[in-house]
Amino acid sequence: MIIKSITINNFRQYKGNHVIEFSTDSEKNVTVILGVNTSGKTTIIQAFNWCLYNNTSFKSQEVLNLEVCKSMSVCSTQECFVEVILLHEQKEYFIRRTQSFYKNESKKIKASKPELNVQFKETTGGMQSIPKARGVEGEYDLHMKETINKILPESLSDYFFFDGERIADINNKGDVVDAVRGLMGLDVISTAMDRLDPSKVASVTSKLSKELDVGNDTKFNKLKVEVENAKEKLEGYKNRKVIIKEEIEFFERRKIELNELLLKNREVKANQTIKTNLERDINVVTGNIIKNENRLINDFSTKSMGYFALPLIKKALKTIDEAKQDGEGIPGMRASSIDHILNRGNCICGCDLTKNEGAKEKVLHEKSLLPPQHMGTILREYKKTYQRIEREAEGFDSVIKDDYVELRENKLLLEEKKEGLIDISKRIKNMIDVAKIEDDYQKNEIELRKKRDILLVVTGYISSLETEIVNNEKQIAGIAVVSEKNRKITKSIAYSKAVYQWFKQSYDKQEAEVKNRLLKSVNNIFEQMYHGTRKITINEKYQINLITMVGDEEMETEESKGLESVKNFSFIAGLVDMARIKARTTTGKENEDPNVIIGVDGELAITTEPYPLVMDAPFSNVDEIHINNIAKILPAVSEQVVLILMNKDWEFAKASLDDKVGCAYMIEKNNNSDVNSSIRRLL
Amino acid sequence: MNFEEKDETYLNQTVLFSLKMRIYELEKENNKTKKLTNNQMTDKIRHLIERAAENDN
Repeated sequence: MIIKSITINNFRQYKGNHVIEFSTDSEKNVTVILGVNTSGKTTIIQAFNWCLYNNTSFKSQEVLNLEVCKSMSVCSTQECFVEVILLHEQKEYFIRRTQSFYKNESKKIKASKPELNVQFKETTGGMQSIPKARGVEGEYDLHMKETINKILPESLSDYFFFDGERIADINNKGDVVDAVRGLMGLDVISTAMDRLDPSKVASVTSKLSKELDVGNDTKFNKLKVEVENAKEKLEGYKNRKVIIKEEIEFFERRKIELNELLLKNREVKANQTIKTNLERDINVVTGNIIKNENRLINDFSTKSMGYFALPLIKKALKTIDEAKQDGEGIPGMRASSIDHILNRGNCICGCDLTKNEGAKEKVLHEKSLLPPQHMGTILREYKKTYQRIEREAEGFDSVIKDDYVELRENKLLLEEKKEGLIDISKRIKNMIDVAKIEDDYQKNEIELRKKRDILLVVTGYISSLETEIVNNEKQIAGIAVVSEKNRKITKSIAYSKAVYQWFKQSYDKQEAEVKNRLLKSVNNIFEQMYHGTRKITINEKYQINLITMVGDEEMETEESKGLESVKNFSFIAGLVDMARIKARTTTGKENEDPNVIIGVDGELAITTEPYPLVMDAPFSNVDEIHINNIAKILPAVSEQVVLILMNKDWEFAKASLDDKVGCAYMIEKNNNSDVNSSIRRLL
Repeated sequence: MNFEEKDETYLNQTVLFSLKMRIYELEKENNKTKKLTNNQMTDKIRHLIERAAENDN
């Protein structure tokens, strides 16, 4: 596909008719379109997307030029159109999308449905139109859309009509697997495989198997039912397996993301640990302060009285000592106890006091030593109590001092911890909650394990069902060949399976080849733009990553913005390069290797088809050093390069591209208007 | 007799090659034109296979 020209009429900023003819010269294959901001550079990419795919980011009413729109009188009609003329597989295609606008009596603009028209001209023949699709309501342009999609699939168009400001998003684009397969012609083989796949109920092979019949042979019929049931189950489990694999991929991606987040937030985590420790310390110190206060109160209330009364007590003791009234009476004995002994007439030693006067006198003497007759004993008791209070009171000041010092220290410590907590809380305020991420990580791990376990179980079911189907089909085949009809069907099944195997092996081989070719192409281009040790890898969903060798291991690397742009440019250029190469078959001689789509001389036959690369603001995210490198590569990887950019970016690329420029244009705002621009040819 | 064991080895290789090419070309053509529905394509391929099996006799 090479674009010859685009005609833009009353579309967005372009009032009236504007034609851009693109360079089709193989030597000077670059077309440059320069313009200032808001002059309509991006509109050119949008015009392509609108014309080819009816796809724009604005509302349909906004397609019509605003000045044209305003100048419309009531009950009048205006139209806008974009026509793209392109060359593809030796045919010249004329693709035009037109939209009409009607201003009604209440001055409201009504837009009609955009109408597509596709015509083509063989190099030797006259003009032909792609016919309208019949009987498909609202889809008159079905065949035309298909024609356009065959030339350039819509899903891949973003890579060929590229908005440079979005180059960083390239890895986040949807799955391009199907689009790449379509571009490489692998979708044909894939469809054929589906139609013949013996494991699918609706396949030709399965339908033929259903035709096998040996009358009332119950074993045969039972086996047939079992095979049908097993196939249905197998299909279900295969679908389930695909979903589980996608789920596992999701959880694995999530695991990597969470792990990266945890690594990035190691410092926050350390601070959160400090905060937790401080909170715990504050609780402990607060508890200690409460204990200190209780002890202080207790010590004060029990010992303070003695301490403050100490001078009085000392004076009292001195007075008692000076009174020399030390009691000689029996400690704890009372005068009433002696009276009791005298009344009963028996001493505690057993002596009869009524008969023994000497003993009685002795007892009476003891009574005379006790209060109230003698105060010495009471004073002795008082003395003991005072001495105890004195002993206790002597340690009071140091106990109270110790209690207070400890309390004070704990209060200071509490203040210090509180300040620390405020400080750390301020630092981690609004920061990510690492504990939550860790919790998410653990939950994710549990889900991942669950899904992997389920995958193992489902894979086991699939394997056992496949074995069951193969075994039962062997038995069916053995029974079926008994009749002539079944013999023919059996043979048809054998052919069907043989063709299926051939498609499958061809598909596997070619897909591997496509991926390998893309990988080589992308890395080859990358090496020309970047001189270092990094390489690009492509995964099964055609997403790209940069890796570098660390020892014997390949490691994904962090990318600078410039390097990321170079990587993404390499991928786009690699895709364009790959799109030129298509597998084809020849139906000539039989090849030695029947598992390969046959080409001349037994090789995978290759034809080349050029593709354009239309880039809007391609260098807006690229540093000056890499602009030069990229500019050198672009004309070499694509047969046609269209660059739509600002003058300042062109200045950097000019040195590398100037001698490759075949056509050059300048977009100019008319009267400095944002809604009226013209395109002036410079070269 | 076991069907799986004889499989491709007892098929006529020239007929098989021709069948492969016919089916591939048919799929390729329909991929471009979309003239035939899925069911029509399945029937057509089945017909091609049955004819190939007959030609093998």
